[in-house]
Amino acid sequence: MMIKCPCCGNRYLSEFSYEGDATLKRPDENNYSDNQAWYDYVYARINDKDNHAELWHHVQGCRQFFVVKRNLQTHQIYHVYSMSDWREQQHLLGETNGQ
Amino acid sequence: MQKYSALSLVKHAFSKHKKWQKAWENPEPKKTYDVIIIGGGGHGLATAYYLAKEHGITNVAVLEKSYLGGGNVGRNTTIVRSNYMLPENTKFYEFGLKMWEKLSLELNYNVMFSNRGLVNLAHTSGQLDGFRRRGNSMRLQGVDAELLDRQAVAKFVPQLNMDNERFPIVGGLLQPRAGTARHDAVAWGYARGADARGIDLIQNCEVTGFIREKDKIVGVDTNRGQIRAGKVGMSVAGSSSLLAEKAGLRLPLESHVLQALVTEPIKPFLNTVVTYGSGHCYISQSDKGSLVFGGDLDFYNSYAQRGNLPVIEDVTSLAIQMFPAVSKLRLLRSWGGIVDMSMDGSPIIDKSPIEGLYINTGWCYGGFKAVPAAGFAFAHTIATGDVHEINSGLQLSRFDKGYLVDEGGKGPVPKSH
Repeated sequence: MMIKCPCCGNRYLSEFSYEGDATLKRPDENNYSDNQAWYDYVYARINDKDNHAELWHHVQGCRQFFVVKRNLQTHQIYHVYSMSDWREQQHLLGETNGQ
Repeated sequence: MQKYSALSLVKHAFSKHKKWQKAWENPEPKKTYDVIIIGGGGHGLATAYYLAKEHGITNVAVLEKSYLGGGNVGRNTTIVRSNYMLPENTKFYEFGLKMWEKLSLELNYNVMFSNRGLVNLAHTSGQLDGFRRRGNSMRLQGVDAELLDRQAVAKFVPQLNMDNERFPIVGGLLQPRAGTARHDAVAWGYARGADARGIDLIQNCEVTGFIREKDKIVGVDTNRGQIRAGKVGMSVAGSSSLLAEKAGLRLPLESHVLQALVTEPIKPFLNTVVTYGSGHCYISQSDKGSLVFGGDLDFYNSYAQRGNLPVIEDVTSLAIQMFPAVSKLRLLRSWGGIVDMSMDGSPIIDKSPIEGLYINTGWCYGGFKAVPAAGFAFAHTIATGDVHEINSGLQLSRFDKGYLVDEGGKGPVPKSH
């Protein structure tokens, strides 16, 4: 598997480290009472098959974190986002959901 | 059920072995059952078997989307052991190991369980201290464990390279009663036993959704129509999250691919199971003569049932570090299975928060050895609605409550377990 790092371009899988689900939202630090929110953040996972958004770390290269959207059966990579692009996209998505 | 014996073998020789009864039937699904088990792998078939045998519930269907035993029960490295440290795991796996010792008799099917021992290698004195602690914990709980010093390891496995420059072997922890079994035979033996007790084994039947009435699950939608049931249990390993999502349940799991590989068959070389301590590689020799290698996950979520080459390269290089002689062998095959990696590395056998739905999942690297005990415990949980003593520490609610069963102390990072 090749992954197109936003900084370094196409590099081989063994240079990267997988860091899990990119869609998790950390609850408010001061919110100790909402057990469910913390459970969802720490343990519960969508574990999607078709279009999984996940964090990768180019640990043997530029050491940047970035987000990959990937099909987990074919390993086809649909899109790679730099963290700033991803945050922007999540932000837009959040506004749309809020309407 | 036709009993298998030496006598029956002789008897059938006269008819040139053309009159053997089918091991199991291939029935059409009925409209309704008392219990539906989703997943016709080792766990699902064992659960059905024990539902009938221990609880007298025989109006049961096992729904398998492909063919029986085609998933992880046919894709593992066949190792059976109970060398855990924490009591929640030890009592479960030790109960299971005792079942393995009598399994061929129980099923009237040769599962070829061979308690050839399993040795974990230690490469530093600190690691050996860790093994001593685990070994003591095992012995306190009635599990066999022997701490081996360097000389004892060299004597027990003479083929080992004891003096690797980077990772010399300083000792090991041996569980003499651990070993290997013929993986397919376990699935087939349970399938035959379940079928003989009147359970419907339905293949090519994929569950596409759940039927709900109020807040209760009362059946499943499948590609062969609706099937209703009083209770539904799921034993679907790597597909657990996808199936649970259809019921509106999000599980503390990630699905990862775990690869195994075999070499070409050779003459008897290794009469035990050896695991490397400075990397993840475990080796045994199959009865056909192939060396069976297992290693790490690919470390990223996957549903592909095949892996990538870096892990194969890593596993083979570790194997050669341990046994330099194997560098001359050729690899014959490699394959991958989708494992249900849980957030603390331990399994979940429990009723779900949704009434009528029961879950058996989170087996990580170790689902095969758990087949008999998981079937037994899951059948008990489905039949009585409550956990058995052996799965009392493996409940889903432990994550919420903070009672994690984390052998490695690695935290909620599934790929690390």
